[in-house]
Amino acid sequence: MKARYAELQVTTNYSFLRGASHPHEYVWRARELGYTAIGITDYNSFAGIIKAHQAARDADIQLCIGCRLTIDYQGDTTSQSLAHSDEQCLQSVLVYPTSRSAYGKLCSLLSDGRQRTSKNDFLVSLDEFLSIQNECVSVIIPPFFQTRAHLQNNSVSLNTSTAIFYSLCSIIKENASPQKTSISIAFSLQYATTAKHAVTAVVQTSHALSIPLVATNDVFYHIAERYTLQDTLTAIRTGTTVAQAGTALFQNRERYLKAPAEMHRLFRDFPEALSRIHHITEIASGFSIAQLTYTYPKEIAPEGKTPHQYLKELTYKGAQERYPNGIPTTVHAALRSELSLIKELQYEKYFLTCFDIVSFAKKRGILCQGRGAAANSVVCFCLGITAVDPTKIDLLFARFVSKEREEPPDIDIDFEHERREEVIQYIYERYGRDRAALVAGVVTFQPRSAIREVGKALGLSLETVSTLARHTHHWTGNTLSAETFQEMGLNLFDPTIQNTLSLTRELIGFPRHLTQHVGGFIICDTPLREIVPIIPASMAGRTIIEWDKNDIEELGMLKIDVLALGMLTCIRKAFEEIQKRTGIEHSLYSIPQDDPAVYDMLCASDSMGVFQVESRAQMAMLPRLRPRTFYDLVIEVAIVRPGPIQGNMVHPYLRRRQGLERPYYPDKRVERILGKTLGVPIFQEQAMRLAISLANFTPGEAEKLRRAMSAWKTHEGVIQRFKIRIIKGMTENGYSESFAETCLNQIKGFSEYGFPESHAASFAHLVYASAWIKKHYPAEFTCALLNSQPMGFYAPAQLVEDARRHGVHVLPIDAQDSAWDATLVDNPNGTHPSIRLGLRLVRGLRTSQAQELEENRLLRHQDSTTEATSLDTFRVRNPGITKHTLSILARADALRSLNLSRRNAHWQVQALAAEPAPLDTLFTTRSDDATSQLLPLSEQAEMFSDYESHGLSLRAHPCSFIRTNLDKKRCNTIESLHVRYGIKANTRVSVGGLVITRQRPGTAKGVVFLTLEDETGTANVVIRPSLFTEQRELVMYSTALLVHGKLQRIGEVIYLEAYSLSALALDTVRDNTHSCYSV
Amino acid sequence: MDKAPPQKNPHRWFLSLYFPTWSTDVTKRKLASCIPPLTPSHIVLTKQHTQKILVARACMQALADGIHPDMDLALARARTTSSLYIEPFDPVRDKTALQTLATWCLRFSPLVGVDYELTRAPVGALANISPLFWGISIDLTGTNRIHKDLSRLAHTIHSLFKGSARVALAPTYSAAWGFSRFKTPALTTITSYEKLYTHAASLPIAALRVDTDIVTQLTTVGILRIGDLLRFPRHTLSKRFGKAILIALGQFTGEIEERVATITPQEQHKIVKQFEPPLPTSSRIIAAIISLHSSLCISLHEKHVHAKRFVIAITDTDDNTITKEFSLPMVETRTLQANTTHITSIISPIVERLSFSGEVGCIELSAHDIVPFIPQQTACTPDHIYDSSTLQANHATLINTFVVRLGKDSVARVSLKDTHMPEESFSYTSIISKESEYCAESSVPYTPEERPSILLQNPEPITTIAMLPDKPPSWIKWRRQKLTITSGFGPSRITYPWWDDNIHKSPQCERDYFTIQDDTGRWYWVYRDNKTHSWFLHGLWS
Repeated sequence: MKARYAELQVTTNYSFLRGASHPHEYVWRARELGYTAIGITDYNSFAGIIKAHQAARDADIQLCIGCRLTIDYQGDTTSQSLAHSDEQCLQSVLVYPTSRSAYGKLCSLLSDGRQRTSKNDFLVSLDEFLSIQNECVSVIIPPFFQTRAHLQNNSVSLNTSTAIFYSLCSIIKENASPQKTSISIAFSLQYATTAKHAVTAVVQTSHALSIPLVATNDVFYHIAERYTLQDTLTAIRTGTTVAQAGTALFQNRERYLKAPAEMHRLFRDFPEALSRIHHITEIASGFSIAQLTYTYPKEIAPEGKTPHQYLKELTYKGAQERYPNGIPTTVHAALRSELSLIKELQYEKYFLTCFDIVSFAKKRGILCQGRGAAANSVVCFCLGITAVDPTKIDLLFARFVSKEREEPPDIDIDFEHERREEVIQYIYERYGRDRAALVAGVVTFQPRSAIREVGKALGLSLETVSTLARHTHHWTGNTLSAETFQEMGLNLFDPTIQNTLSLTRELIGFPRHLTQHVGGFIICDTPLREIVPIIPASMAGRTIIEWDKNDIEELGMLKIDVLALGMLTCIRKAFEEIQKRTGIEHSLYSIPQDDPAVYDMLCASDSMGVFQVESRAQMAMLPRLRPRTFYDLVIEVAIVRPGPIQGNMVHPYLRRRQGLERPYYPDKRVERILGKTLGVPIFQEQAMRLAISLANFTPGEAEKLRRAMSAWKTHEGVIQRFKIRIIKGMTENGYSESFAETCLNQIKGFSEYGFPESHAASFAHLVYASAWIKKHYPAEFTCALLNSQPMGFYAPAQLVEDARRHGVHVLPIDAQDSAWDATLVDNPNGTHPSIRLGLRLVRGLRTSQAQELEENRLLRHQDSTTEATSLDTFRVRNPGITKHTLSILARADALRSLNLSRRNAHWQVQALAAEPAPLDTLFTTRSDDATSQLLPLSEQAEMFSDYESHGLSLRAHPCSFIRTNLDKKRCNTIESLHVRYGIKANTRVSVGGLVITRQRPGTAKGVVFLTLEDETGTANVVIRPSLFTEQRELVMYSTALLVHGKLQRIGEVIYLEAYSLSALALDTVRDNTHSCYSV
Repeated sequence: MDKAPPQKNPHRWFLSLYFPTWSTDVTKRKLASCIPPLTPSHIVLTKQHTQKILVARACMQALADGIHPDMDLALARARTTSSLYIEPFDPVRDKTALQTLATWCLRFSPLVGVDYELTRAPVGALANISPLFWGISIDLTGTNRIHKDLSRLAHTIHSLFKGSARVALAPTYSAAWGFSRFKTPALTTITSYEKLYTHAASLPIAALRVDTDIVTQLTTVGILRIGDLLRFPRHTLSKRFGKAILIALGQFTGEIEERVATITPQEQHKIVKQFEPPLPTSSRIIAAIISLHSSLCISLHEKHVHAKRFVIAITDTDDNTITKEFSLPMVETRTLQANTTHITSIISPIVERLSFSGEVGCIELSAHDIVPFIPQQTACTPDHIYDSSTLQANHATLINTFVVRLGKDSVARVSLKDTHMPEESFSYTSIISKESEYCAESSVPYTPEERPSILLQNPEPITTIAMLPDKPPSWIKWRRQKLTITSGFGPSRITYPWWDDNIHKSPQCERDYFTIQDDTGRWYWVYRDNKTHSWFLHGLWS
């Protein structure tokens, strides 16, 4: 008869830094060896079980869900022999729930334990364990088979630990109900040095208490070869090196999944321990992950109405508001079909929850917008979840929320980034912390972090480790040659280096710890903590579940993404400013559509600050794509992404758009899918639809394809299957193989970075809205941008510079006139109001002090008293302002309204006593303090000090001070490079300027893009990889550069293809300041 | 100049030595003395700051290439095309070296000091002390008669260091410090207060040795040089920048006196004895030394300190001095200090080994490496022999006796190591080494009964037959004896440390250890190498 065996004590790598194999590796190995079942028992956690469940389902093997509880039990402290309270001896028990309710209780227990203690030392009291014991199978783990590191304290002698173990077992035995004989003692034979004593102790205990033994191998890795990685993990966990870890490591490499025959041979003297396994797997089969059912909150619809009725009611009410002139028939039809589909799939509650959250945000005045396939439905448009009218851009809802897709609908809602926390706390409050929690994100080892930790554990010097980390591309790719290593100053054939590299490769992708997902919320009708353990996140006030987004998708749980978006904050603030000044109330829906002036502005690449299209790459694309309609913006947003760029779709699209090339469609079907993007697939949906329509994929399969694509690089085999499937399907449908290959490559291009049309549409709406504000209300726009920092692509310095170029007058920070935020001031001489910069820009200024200044400013405005004109009066009026704050204000040159130059202000402030001014200073005249002897600061030095204190200067541009020098070097100003000044393209020119952005996109094959700014404008610099390697330091670290290169132009955008670079000293004429200028 | 230079009498003189690249110079010397000597062009010393490695010190060439302290090492590498010699910055080593040099400088004047800021810094903060404070100051006041021309002396000292030192001679300590750090030529001699004033004007404020905070504050109002400062009425300065600035200024100009914090440091523990008539024979000299030594020990004991090294300076009748040094090989000097008979018994053989010739007129015995101790009560009655301190003392007496008889290199102690490999689990360390002072309690990974009491130096091959995979052998042949095995258990499997290149003979090697008993009742510890399947005897139970 073939030997039967199942392993019940398996530690996966979701017991972070303990297990050395992935859950799926165990499952597949167990199947390979012919196990009847496998039990996954991570340390106090269920974090890995969904992955194990998926694998077990695919491998068709029984999975026993359990965990390894750490119990705080120090023995009977009254007995003399154990009365060392400082000797903490942690006891472990494997717990296998036997029913759904038992699982729920165990989850609650884990949640409680996690909330009580810090992340790492998780303890359950013995009583808590006993309370759930009778519903579970428990396997008590004797402490003798553990290493020192597991016991945490090696000073406990064998006799003491035997005694503690015996008393623990007897307590558990006493508590167990006699009907259910579900306790056992784990019994492992791993050729340990202590084995003889351990075996005696365990067998004696078992006999004395008549608790059966069960054979386990206490597995930490699926194959023996992983033992090196396990040792390394132990060293990482204990913060030492493998060489020093000593007996904290296992003494041999026996803790792998052994063949059943081998296990039978080892336990030949204990057959009852082997047969006990099957007894346990049988009882444990009473629970499986499939029993977890998830229900959506019920209270979302008011009493007396079914969710469907309520949703319908709300939708039609919303539709009437959206279409005040009557609902068009197309909309009617769409609504009817969407509602019936939602009814069929029972997604009403999901839509209602989104509506609930959005309504809350609206009530609070928090701007929000939904995106995603389901969000771009007419229902969502009517419910106010999104501002994009889906009927205008032909987004077919039914295609993406469908039965075949077997996937919950996807709605991401963006909120203002400064106020998202309000929404999150609202959700916690509305549904309770037991029922709502954030989804976890699994942080995995990346090449750099892996090499650092492994290198340290193997005792490499910090030097070597950082060299390796710097050159990850050399060894993660396939370019592992001795020469490249020699260049790095390392010997590839050194055994330690080799070990480090091979271990690092194994470690990459291992989970490191759990963190919170960016905003995915799980809301549940029944207590969530009975489905999955809820643990506190590192951020106060947040709780997360132990599963990540793939895990919950597996269970069909609905997740709502509550995301933060800086631009929404900015748009809301701009709307507020506009309303304050003009009285016109705008909203995302109400701004005038298709304003040609807005598109003109965008075509000219004048998009700094505009959502999404302000990046260097987007700015370069705008004059080529020349968007004129809303849908052009949708494409604009989606096309400048690594996906389309890698799939070589950008240039064909541009050529076709400019009419240089005719769109080509092999047939009608393709034309239907790709028609609106001129035959070039740009959106993720198009790639999937191609697969459905041309290669006969079902929507469900297409979805699987999309997922497989995201792991394209790691799972060659899966991809191969799809590749064959696609090519076969397409050739069957009569397409040529080469066309199939092209399609496949384009689909591949989307794998990691493809952008869905549904998201692009929502984003495009924000692009338009922000561009519209920038065009018509530049002062309000800049003001709102400055007040929403940090966000976007540019620093305040560039935003202010841009505003000034648009004719907005900007006033410097002033202690008496500035609020915390930038404010708008009437400007009788101009068309736009002026911006008064806010105190928030001042580095080092305490918020409480700024608040005080702001309050006094408001008071002054109310009483309409005049401004103070001397430091003394200022101090009397602002008694709470400390000397320290004053010196910070002096540094920011914010005391000009007191008739104090920067240096004079410093001089005066320095003379003040540290305490706030007593009233009488007002009446004493200050003897002149030799102010006149202070040398005045030069304009350039003032400018440098401006940058130092608040990162921008309203004085002349740094480059203007060295213009004469630049002229001597025959440098052009950036403005003079524009077409209108007559310099031909491809001429060699030199330009000097500040480096304001620096990018090295992964898609650009090592090309570096810089943006250079001088007093007249900005230009892009393209640096080829060869030049970059030559002048790496200059490119990476300099704040200002002199670039010699070939001039290129696309519309208004100026490019320099750099031939050579040289450093540009900004401070050649800098006098007497010791400031470090930095942008 | 708001004031006429104060007339100072008597005139004081200070010489300040500053080594801009002291630490890298020390490294350079160390490398040059290697065999073969290393002469890297660029030396960079590093320190670790959180996750980053920063440059702590750079040599002249590296500085010239734009590598400067507190720069990221990666950036430093990018700055130069030459290869860098990199080692961690060891401020303790460099400070000791500087102190040694300061001691050497005592030949110029009895008042020599290492910069106060450096001497006072705790060890942990040493790395963060600005390089400016790594210098030596010599108070030359009153030495005119010996050195005649002080400017020439400064010149000589400057040339002695072959350009690695910046030297300034000035009438005040602070000025000498400032000029040596901030004045452009590497040698500055300020011979009068008038000159001091004229030259000081162009020095930066930092030359006044004031807090960096004050320097920054002064910078904000445009006061960058001492000259700028002097233009302001003093009361306006003290109001803003505190008394410190005025004191610093006063110290600089000599209005306030300042002394060198000298190195003649701790109390000297020594005994000098003149012999009249001179001691004629070697044996009498030795006897004298021993008696001097015991009285020195008693006086040390009374001061609650103990010494580990003694230096004897013997002056013969012709005023020639011979210096001999000996150290006490004692492990526990503390408990033994009082036990003079024991000490005498230890040191006499050592002293006897020092050879003396001629008549001796004077013997000076000084104690070094002084360590304080906290006096403890020892056993009150002689029968408390198991009292821990008594035991310790007895232990120490034994060790000391061994060391004296056999030489310190011949006595070692066992120290335990936490590892699974039996032959690696202990090592012999020299009795004198630092670790041996505390090695008594280290964790014992196994309960003793599982490991044999006798472990063979090298596992000895045996012939045997055992059933695979894990049965103990039924007989073994060891040292030409065939032993019948009656019982045994095991195996205990130990995997070789895979990370260790030295033991890493073949990958994934394992040993299966068995504990077996022969028919005479004796227990043996044998193992099978799972790679070669050969058997070894590794230990036995006595």
